[in-house]
Amino acid sequence: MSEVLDIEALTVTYGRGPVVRALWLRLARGDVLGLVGESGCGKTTLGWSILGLLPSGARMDGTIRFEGADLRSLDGRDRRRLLGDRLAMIPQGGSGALDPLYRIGDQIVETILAHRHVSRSEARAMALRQLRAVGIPDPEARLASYPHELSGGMRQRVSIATALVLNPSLLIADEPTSALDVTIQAQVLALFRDLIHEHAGAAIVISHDLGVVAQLCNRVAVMYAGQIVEEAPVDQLFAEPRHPYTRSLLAAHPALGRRGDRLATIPGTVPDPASPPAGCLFRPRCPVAMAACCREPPWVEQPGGGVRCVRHAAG
Amino acid sequence: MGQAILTRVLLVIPILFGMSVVVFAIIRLVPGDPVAAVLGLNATPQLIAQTRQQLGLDQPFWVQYLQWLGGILHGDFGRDYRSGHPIVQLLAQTLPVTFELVVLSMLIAVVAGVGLGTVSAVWRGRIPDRVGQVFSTLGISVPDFWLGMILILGLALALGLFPSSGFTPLTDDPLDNLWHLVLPALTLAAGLAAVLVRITRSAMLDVLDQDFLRAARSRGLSERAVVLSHGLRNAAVPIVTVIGMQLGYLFGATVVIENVFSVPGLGRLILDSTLAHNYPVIQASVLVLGAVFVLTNLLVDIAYTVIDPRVARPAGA
Ligand SMILES: Nc1ncnc2c1ncn2[C@@H]1O[C@H](COP(=O)(O)OP(=O)(O)OP(=O)(O)O)[C@@H](O)[C@H]1O
Ligand code: SF4
Ligand SMILES: [Mg+2]
Repeated sequence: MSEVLDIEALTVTYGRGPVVRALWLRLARGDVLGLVGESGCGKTTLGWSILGLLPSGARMDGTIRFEGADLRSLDGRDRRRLLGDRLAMIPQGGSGALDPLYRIGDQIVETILAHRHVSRSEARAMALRQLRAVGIPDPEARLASYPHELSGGMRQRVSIATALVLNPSLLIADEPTSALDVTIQAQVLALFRDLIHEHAGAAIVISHDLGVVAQLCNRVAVMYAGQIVEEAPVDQLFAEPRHPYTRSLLAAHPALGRRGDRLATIPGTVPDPASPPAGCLFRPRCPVAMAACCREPPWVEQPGGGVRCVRHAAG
Repeated sequence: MGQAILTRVLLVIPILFGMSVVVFAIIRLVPGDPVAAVLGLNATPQLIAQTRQQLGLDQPFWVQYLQWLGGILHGDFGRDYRSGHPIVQLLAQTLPVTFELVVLSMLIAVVAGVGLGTVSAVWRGRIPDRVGQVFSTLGISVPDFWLGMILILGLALALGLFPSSGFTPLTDDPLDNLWHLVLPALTLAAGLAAVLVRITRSAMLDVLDQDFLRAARSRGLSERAVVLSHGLRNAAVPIVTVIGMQLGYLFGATVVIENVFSVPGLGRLILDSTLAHNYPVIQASVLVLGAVFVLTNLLVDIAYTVIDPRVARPAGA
């Protein structure tokens, strides 16, 4: 079975209304999916719901299968066995992911020891290798540092190292490079590529940086208001965006694929989850909206992906 | 690391010094002549003058103070006006008893309060949380001397489970000693435990919501490691702060509780000597109780640097 992740009809609701709406997503081994979309469209929520670690107020419906196992039916112990090992997350704002009271080395070692029967010194050696791999200078000394003694970029590299240390088969990276400078970014991107190449894993890379997505990913999913509105192979999406939302996002970037290209800002605001517009959720901001858009647009399959827009349903 | 702690340790010296001045001065300001109180009704003016001279009370205030302080620095707290015994002996008998009582209450309060508070936070809104709320509300609203009476009436007199009074020194029979201290320690612990349930619960709820705790879960750590190693350790900072603030209350309450349960500790010595206008004893015992409080507070401050590396190793250092 080459399917790593299979999400069916996932809906997540936080009191006020759904922030992820009946979302379907599949990832095969070797896939690196870029997940893009404006702030608040539900990218982080999607990531944490895969790990089953949504905040207590959240309600979740749908199915999530990871390597064939139904994640939502696993008990706590079996789920913990996966997390941090085969299914790893680099949390957004990576620097807040470290416990301020523990040394960097201890936090990585603790993760290794939770999953592998190795000695403490072997675990330390693994941690050291991984810190070196993400480009942390003087890694031996850093093992003994506390998080507050490192810069934001260094802390983010530490959480990247922690997530990668056990070679996960699915890595979810939430804005993994936002605090890194350009040279380190190149190193980290190369590391991701190697990891996926070597271990036949898959990854979801959440990013605002189209350059990162273009370099790293083979597929892109564009999210709007909790739905995936377009999914396509990366070259195709940049060369020939189909959904009006994707087009607006890319409009301001004639030279695509350059590092540092940010998503364009689009006039209007994201709909309030509590009172979404009828029909297409993008309708109030869509430059090419028409009467038929008041009904919910269908998902139209395309080679290597699809698009959620009535203009493409017509052919 | 050493620097911050050393500064804090050195700070204790002026604090103790200031305390000795205040204690000494207040005793002098209390109305009533100690000598008259000691000699009683058959005092003649001549006898009073003679005694004053013997006790050094005819000297200027500051000379008296320096003599007193000099004695203390040599381990001499003066003599009991009445019995003539060295006060050091009284302190040596009573201080360990009070210390044991306070340590025991502290243990009970921390185990019960932090335990129940943690459980309340983890099972928020469920039965353990309700139990914790009822317990902490009761514990905070019931005065400790009243709780002491109820425990004596219920557990000691009615059920005969514990002795209602009396005391066995630790060195004579440790078990019997503990047996006698259970009720006073419980009484003393109740209020602190109740406060600790509340503060632990809210500190834990706060920590359980933090990003790094979710990140710890995402690494597949056991629930025990997440809640205790990462959760409770981070919540420990506010908890230790509250313990530090409640210490003064705890030491003060020993005066009441030791009298309710007839425990021969420092608190009872303070009350007895006050009622008897036994000034040198009051002076010495109040000073010692205060010093113990100051030193315990020092331990609390050192605990911070052990718990939180940001205190001992600030960024950029
Ligand atoms: N704990 C929470 N309780 C209630 N609402 C939440 C919570 N977390 C997120 N939300 C809401 O859910 C929606 C999606 O948030 P999410 O963090 O998933 O967006 P995002 O796409 O990751 O945004 P960004 O690009 O800014 O990281 C937002 O409207 C947000 O306000
Ligand atoms: S369905 Fe209509 S409103 Fe929605 S994106 Fe397509 S054209 Fe625009
Ligand atoms: Mg996010």
